[in-house]
Amino acid sequence: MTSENVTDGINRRTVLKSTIAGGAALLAGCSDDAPAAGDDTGDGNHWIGAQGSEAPNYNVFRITDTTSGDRVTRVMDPAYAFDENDEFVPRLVRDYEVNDDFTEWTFTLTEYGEWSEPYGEMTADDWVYSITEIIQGEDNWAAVSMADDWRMPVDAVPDGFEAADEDGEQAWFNVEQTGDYEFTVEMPEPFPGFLEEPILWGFQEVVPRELAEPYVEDRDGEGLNEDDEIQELSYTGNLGAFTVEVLETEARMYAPRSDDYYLRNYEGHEDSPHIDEWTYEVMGEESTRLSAIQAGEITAAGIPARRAEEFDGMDDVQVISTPTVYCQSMFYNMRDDGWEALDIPEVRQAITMAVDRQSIVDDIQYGYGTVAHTLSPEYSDFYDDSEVAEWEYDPDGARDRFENNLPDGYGYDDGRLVDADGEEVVLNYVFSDSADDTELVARFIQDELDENLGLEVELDPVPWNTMLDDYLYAEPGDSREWDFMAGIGRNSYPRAPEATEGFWRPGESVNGYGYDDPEGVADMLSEAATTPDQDERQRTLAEAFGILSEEQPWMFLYFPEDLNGYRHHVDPTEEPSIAWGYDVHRWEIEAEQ
Amino acid sequence: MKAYIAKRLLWTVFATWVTVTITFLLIDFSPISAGGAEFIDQQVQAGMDADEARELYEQQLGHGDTVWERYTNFMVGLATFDWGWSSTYNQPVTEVIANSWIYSFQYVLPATVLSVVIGFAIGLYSATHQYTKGDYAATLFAFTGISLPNFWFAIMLILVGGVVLGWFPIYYTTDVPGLLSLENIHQLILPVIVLSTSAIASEMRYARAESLEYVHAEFVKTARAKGLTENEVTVRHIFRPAMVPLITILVGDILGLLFAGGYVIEYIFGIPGLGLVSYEAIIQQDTPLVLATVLIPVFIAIIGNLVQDICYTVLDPRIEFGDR
Repeated sequence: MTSENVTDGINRRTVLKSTIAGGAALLAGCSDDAPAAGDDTGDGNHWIGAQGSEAPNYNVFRITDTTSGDRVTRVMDPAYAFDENDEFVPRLVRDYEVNDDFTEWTFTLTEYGEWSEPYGEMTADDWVYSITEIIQGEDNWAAVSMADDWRMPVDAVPDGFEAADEDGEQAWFNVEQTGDYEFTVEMPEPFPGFLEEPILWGFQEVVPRELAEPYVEDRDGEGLNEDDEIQELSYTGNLGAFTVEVLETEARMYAPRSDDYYLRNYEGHEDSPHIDEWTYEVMGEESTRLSAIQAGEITAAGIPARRAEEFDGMDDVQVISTPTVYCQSMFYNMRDDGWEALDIPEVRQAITMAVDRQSIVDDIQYGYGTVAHTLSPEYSDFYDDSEVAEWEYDPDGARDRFENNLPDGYGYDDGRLVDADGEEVVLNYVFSDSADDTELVARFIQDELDENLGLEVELDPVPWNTMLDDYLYAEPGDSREWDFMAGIGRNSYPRAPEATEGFWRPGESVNGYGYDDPEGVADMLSEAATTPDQDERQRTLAEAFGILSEEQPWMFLYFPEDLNGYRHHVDPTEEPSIAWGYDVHRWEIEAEQ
Repeated sequence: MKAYIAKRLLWTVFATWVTVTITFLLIDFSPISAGGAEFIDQQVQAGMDADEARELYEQQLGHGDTVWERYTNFMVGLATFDWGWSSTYNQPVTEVIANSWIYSFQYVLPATVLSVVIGFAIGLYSATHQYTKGDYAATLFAFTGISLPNFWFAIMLILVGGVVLGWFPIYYTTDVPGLLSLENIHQLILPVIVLSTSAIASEMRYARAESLEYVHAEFVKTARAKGLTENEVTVRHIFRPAMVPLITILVGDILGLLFAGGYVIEYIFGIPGLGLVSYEAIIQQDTPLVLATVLIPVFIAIIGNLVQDICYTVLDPRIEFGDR
């Protein structure tokens, strides 16, 4: 696979949970594909992916990065995936049922799954054990990432459920085995979006019970993490299309085709995978990856937007763009330590109107993206044109709206915004210095606000980690000064947008910009999450995203596209979509002439 | 001599402890790494409180609760050769080092040998042929080599040698029959060229400057008057005394090649060597791995300097350690 959000396993799961820093840095192909040096690309069936960095961890309970996720996905399928039409695609989970009020989900596993020796058959017992004893383990003894996925907030913990926190405000899901290959997940409240949320979708946090038992008994999280079989992925048996043979630090992972891949027992997959060998080579330098695909040494590579036209013009390379789920935005500091006027929706609307976002898409993203109006892409089922307010570029209208809605004392002096003391207002725009695009956007917005609103903005590029730790997630008073923030691309969760609730909920850490949610968007999302009536759910979500477009708690900028270049002999069997790569084991690659 | 070596070895232990302690403190008091910030951000997006997410991250790193606890753990580990667990690669640190050093060594060694041999040879030639066309050509080469940024030169070589001419593979792979196989040597040619070009230039300039001190020395004139051939004069009476100060820069050069040049080379060509591992460890604040990768150059520097001091006595018998 080439881009980082194009596989159906943990990759999908982690990408959907993760944040893009600087957008283009990731889009530019930190995860590309290439055949090995010395390997004749002419044989066609050896797909070698180049990854921008080494996979840091193969412990499936802790993985949060896409590089590790990509690798695990090659050797172990996820529970299930979604296709380009958002239809359920069975993998290790073959089927599911849900009761009428969406509180009990039943999942049926494949009966052909085998762990590596000596662990034998994969059954529901392994799944339930991993979930209940490790993920839901007491005090998170295994230091599992994303353990919170398996619980939900409640007013009071109902009978039959266990409290997941000391205050009794969270309850664990009940996970029980109901057959050799069947288990149920029971929730204290209706959860109609459970299937689409990245909880069991893309789930791979399961290991053989026999392997895990000694560590569970001793509550030995480090032991589990450092177990050779865990870190070498040698337990995955026939659960993936490939089997790991080589794992070399900062070098490569090599995995030949698994001839007894469980999926081959199902119609349409009898000869899966169509690729004989899969290798990931670590290749940090973008120019090296691009040179490699240009020379035909690699099968595919992520292509930066600035060079898409050049590569698209090459005879042997095809460039395919796919939509993404991320929204690049600029946050406003609406906390006590931000500029007071940013609390006023009309001021935020005026700022949005003062920035030509289409120009950002056209000139900085080279046309590969779509202007965003709310935290929902237009292709989402929950996006409703009639609800969404689109603040078009209008410098004059922006100036009027801005001037008319400023707090008392502010005004203009010789075209510049001044405060009650006559001092020019200077706002601080902090952004991640990890991507050129982010800086270009920042400079563009700086110019637009200067020209259209007479607003002085100082740019403050900082490292990504500093921006999060010292600004966004630092309490006012401890935080360094900022008014605008950019370089964070938040996931819009287009299939289950309720997952964005925390973005708007006052007091949540993820709402580090201090949005006070006067219209109750978070409550609407929370309500939608437990609404069994799907039409009502859709209406509620569409309304919520309409309110967000009106409120402009962030300046929604654009949804970028992923660009991947493939050698011409690659024949993807699917249409470009956010699910890109879910069916990669059925992609065809023919001998290159 | 023995007392001198023993004293120097004791000094090695002390210097290593100081270096490791300073490195530990620098890392421990650094802001959170990009990977750590990313992890926390993901947990926060999933609904976790930021402080809880930070605690979970520390729990996954498993280094201990207090600075003193962490420091003690590391120092005891170092002393007992249990160098800990790399959180960047999720492997024992010793395994990471054991797997990566050879990939650096395989191109640093030939680059070092080439740069020393060719650099000294050109420098010597340049000194004995001062202000000739050959000297000017060598000087031009030297300044060009020093001025070319390695990252740019490497990318250009890949474009020309790999993409345009197709003579060399574009990136390094471990998927070769062996380190001494032709395939491996073939893919190391460009990295060695890049690394040795600037090093040759640097060695050449040093060798020229040192040799010039002796070209017109009285004892060299005497040697010529005695009827020695020009080669004998050059090698025995110019090069040998010039070697003493030149030796002093060798250890520094090797370290520079390994860790300064090495990172750029390894990053661009995708060589899984120590330079890349060391860099990643620092960026990810992988303390055990950073300390381990710091220990290696410290040892090379200290032991290397000891060896080079001993070499003085071989090159110049007038030097002895009795009074030092």
